[in-house]
Amino acid sequence: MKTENDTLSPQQSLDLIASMINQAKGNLRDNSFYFLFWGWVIVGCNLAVYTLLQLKFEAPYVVWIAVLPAWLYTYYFGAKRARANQSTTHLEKVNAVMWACFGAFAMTIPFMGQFVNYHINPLILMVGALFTFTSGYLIKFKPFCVGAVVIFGCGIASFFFDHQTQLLFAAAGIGCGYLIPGYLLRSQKDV
Amino acid sequence: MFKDLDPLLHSQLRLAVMSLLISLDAADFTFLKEKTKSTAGNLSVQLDKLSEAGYISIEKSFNGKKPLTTCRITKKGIKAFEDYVNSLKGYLKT
Repeated sequence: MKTENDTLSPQQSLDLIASMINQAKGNLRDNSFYFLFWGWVIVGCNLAVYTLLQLKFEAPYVVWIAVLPAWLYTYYFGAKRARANQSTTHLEKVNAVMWACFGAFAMTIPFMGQFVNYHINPLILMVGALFTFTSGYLIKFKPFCVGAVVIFGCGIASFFFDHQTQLLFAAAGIGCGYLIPGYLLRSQKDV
Repeated sequence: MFKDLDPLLHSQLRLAVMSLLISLDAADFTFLKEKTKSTAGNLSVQLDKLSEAGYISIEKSFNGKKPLTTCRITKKGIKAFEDYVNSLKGYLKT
């Protein structure tokens, strides 16, 4: 590419700008890791707590401690990828900040359980659905938007059931609304 | 002919770099070199010019033992880029 003394016409300048902006678009495949990883962590934790409750285990909610190493691994993976990546798009940054905010919400709400009659799972599902929808919209991938509606529906429905059944709603909601779109995203970008 | 256009931006390589950076939060030297298909020497000189004008910020660090040059567009750079595009639009209308 030339630098000095190259006469660009206004149209050539605009074409160059459009072509470069097009080249700077992010790689959606990279995002599928987060959806699949967290999808399995949340589905796994919900089903594990449900199973332990069925087995009359004394402290089934201890399973949720698994979320802490999952956050650490996500942070480690994200930092490693940021170092390896040659560029970061604005959308990637917004997406990362948005899910970090959701993490703060999801970590805080269990301590407020008494104020919401311990309907923690439905609330996390509903708020998680909003973030999933926004993520889908940002990366222009409709299955996540549809999945978000499924998660939101599961969140609302689970208000009407006992805490044990809510775990199944959460696993089903995340499985259908988060994991399936995650795999679709990965398969689409692998082609 | 195009006297209203910012001469610093009205250059193929510098305009390409600014167009990439306006779409990104950050980009490293290798990425810019690949996308603009320029030589390392030429790109380095043009980045310095943009940096001296305050249009971009350059941060030098290491990824392990590998040197890493990360570029970001500044507020001044965004304003200059917007003005440049608006001037272009003016030329295209006439």
